[in-house]
Amino acid sequence: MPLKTSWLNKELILQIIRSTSWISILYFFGLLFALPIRMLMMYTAEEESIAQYNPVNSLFHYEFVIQLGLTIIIPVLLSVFLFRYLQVKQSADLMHSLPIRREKLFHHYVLSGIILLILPIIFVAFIIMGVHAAFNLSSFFHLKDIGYWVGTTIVLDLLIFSAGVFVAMITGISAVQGVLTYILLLFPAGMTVLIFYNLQMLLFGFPTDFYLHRNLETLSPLTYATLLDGRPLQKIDVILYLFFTFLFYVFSILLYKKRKVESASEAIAFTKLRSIFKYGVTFCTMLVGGMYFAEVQNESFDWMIFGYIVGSIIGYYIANMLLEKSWRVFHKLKGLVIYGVVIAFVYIGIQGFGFYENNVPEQSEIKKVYLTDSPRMNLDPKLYGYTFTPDALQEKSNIELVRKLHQQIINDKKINAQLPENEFMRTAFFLYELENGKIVTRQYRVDDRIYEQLFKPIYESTEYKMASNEIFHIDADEVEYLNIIGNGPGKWTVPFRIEKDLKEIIELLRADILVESYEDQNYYSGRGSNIEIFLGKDHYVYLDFKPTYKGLEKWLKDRELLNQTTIVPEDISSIKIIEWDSKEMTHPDLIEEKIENSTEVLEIKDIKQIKEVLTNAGWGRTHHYIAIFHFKEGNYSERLYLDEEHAPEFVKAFFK
Amino acid sequence: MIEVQKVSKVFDRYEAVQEAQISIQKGSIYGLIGSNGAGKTTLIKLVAGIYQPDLGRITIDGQDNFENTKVKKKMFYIPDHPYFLTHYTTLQMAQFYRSIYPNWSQERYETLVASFKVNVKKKIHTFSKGWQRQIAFILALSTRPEVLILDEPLDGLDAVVRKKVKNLLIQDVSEREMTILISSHNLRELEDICDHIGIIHRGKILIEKELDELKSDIHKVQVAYKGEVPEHVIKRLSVLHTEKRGSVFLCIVKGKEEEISELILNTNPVIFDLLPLTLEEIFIYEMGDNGYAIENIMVE
Repeated sequence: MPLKTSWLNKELILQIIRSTSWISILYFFGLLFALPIRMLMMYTAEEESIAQYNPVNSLFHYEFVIQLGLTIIIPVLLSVFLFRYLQVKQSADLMHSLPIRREKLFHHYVLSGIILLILPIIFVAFIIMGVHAAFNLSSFFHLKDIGYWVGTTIVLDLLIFSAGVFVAMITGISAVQGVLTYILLLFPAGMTVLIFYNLQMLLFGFPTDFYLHRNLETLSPLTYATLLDGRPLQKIDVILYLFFTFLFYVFSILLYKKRKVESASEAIAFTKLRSIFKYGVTFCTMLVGGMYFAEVQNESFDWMIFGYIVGSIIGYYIANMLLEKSWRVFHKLKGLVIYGVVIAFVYIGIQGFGFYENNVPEQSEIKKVYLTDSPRMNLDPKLYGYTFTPDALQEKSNIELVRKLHQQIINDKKINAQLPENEFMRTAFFLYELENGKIVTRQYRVDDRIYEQLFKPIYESTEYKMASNEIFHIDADEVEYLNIIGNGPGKWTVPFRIEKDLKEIIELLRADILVESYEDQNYYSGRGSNIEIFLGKDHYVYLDFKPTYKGLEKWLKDRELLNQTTIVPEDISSIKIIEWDSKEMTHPDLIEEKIENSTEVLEIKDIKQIKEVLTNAGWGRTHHYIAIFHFKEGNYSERLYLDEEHAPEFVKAFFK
Repeated sequence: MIEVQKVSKVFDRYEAVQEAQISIQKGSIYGLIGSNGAGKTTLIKLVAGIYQPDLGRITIDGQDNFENTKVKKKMFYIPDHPYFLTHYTTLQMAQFYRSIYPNWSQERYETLVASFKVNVKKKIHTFSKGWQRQIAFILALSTRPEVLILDEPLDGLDAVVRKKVKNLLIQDVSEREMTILISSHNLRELEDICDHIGIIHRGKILIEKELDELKSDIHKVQVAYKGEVPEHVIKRLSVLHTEKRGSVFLCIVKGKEEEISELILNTNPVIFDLLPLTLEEIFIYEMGDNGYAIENIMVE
């Protein structure tokens, strides 16, 4: 007698709904409050208060934290409760004694889960559409925004859910399933950070930031989700996430077929995976330990090694305890010893006998080189907004100078590695493009003062100035406006919009920058007025208006704008100067105190002397004297510094 | 017909079943006896198709049972602690099983529910252990299985219900030729319903016997002589065990009753008695050295 066998078993689905639909309902209400109800709260108020709302970038704008929390928690919760039947011995026995093959069980559970996950999103989407139509919310968002929201939420939910299902197959404990799912989801991003960070500690010059800033967030759906209110999901990531969802699905079935029912209540269901788990945990905690101690102890190498050892031991025993489900695992030393030996060899391998650390490409190999103080180059403007990337240096002489600097930094490895962080430390990032197409990148933290003589010729070269100052890369035609922003009492922001003015100002600034010395670049940066150039949509260029920019100064003076935009001697009633030979930054309160208590204070009221001090004072890091400027207008004073070189003779004479 | 052929099952930390070999005829009730931790439950779950053997094969009517829905549709397994879907009532459980087991008989279900007087709309987990077990039986028998697998099924039932359940089982066996695999740590509990007994100890099947054959084949002989004991005669008997109590010899002898009587009477004994053995005694003597090791599981 042929039996009517339908692929779908209604009772099985009913059972799944009975046991897990509460999660779906929870999800529905969460979304309902976060979106449609929130919208009603915002847009049904008085006309005036509605006016304050702008159109939203996406529907993630509404109660994003709640939406994010739901996306991160609900799919994992659902996967845990769906596959509870695998992790509880008695129900595992019951379900597997039934005449239903595992594939069928699996598909029933996973597909029902997917439906339970998607339905609340769809329902809420319909409600939003209703709200949108009823209250005419087109000025805030459009129907296609609802589509984007539905699609993005579903893609992320499905990936997180399928990861949860995959982990359900691997483990036999529901709690472990939850924790491992999050670890798995964070794994690509977390592991990348951990490995790169540790390489930075182990390899002098390893350009961690250069690698890490590149779309690190997209490596994990969890970190990606946290950015959803700001930036749109990219097509390539959608494809990638759907592909991984599919992959998790397929691997889950394969694993399920191989899984032993008796592995319910085991931390790791597959014997062969247990060593991977054990040493994987050991490795991760080792890296975390190293990172933690290195970070807390100011990048100390010895403490990092200590962190490695402590991290490995903790991780190894925790993993063992989980696997054995017992505290008594401390007699197991052999595995730890073997692990230690292997890691020691890996460490030697990484060090590679100094090959990596000592490598500076030969002059003849180099096509061009970038030298910047930030490894954040060539960022995707869609994701990060506009960021300026300097040009490379191609002149032989400059390449040679960069190589010389690089080689010197390597020669000083011991000194550089031990220097504590201070205000003179800067990042030196090298990116060589070689003739054979290869790229060599290095990143160092170096003390400016040590390498001043090596930086100077590079920074003063015309090629470098043109390559790395954005002012040389902009076109006056594209400038929407340029502001010279005055700083101090009675100063204004003067805007320029006429193309002729813009062209002239830009030309003058370029000329002034080209003759600026390296010392002046540093000495005068950060004081006085600013120049802001707006090129449309998040694209600004900022410059200091330094007293050495004589061309621009004259141009403004000719138009009688100088007094409005910069501090001139006539603004100042007096200047008090004291000697303050401190190498480090000083707290302003200490300075005030010093002036009040000091007997040796030089007070200037002569306009000529005021002018001399004003043009020579900087916000420099190396200072010998502190000058407090008292303004005529208002009860206002400003503090600037003088170094030995810039100090006028009468100042030096006074303190002699 | 169930064939367990050299089946081994290793768990992480120990080998639960070692090269177990049993065969169960269609329509028979096979009792699997063993102490706690002997491997009963593991072997039962292997037969039920829940566990997959590491070595060996288990076939039911010639077909492998693991992940074989065709075979499993004809089987029903009741675990040692009956378990139901969370928060399910008897009625819901019945609907669930009805959708899964094609042989489900609604008529049988209704009769059984009526005869046990079960409130089918009450959630099963609110019933006592004993009631839960009865509900498990009702549901199991309603699927009209060809093979019923029971792990320590009579634990926790009072004498009346126990009798009722046993009767039901026997009824299905006789009416439909249902095959039952039933386990217990107590031989006496199964003595009255099983026709075959297998004893499992430390993962190994020590002995497998048909009960009727056993009972008729083994005897306790008490014999005393005036003078010399006729050793040559004794040697011709298949003696499992001898003991001397004063001048009385006590022997456990295998063989047909008439043959033994004839041989011994020919030697003119002063005293001669031929007595039947209890089932426990039979097993203990049959198994020789192992018998003493597991004596405690028989006489609990």
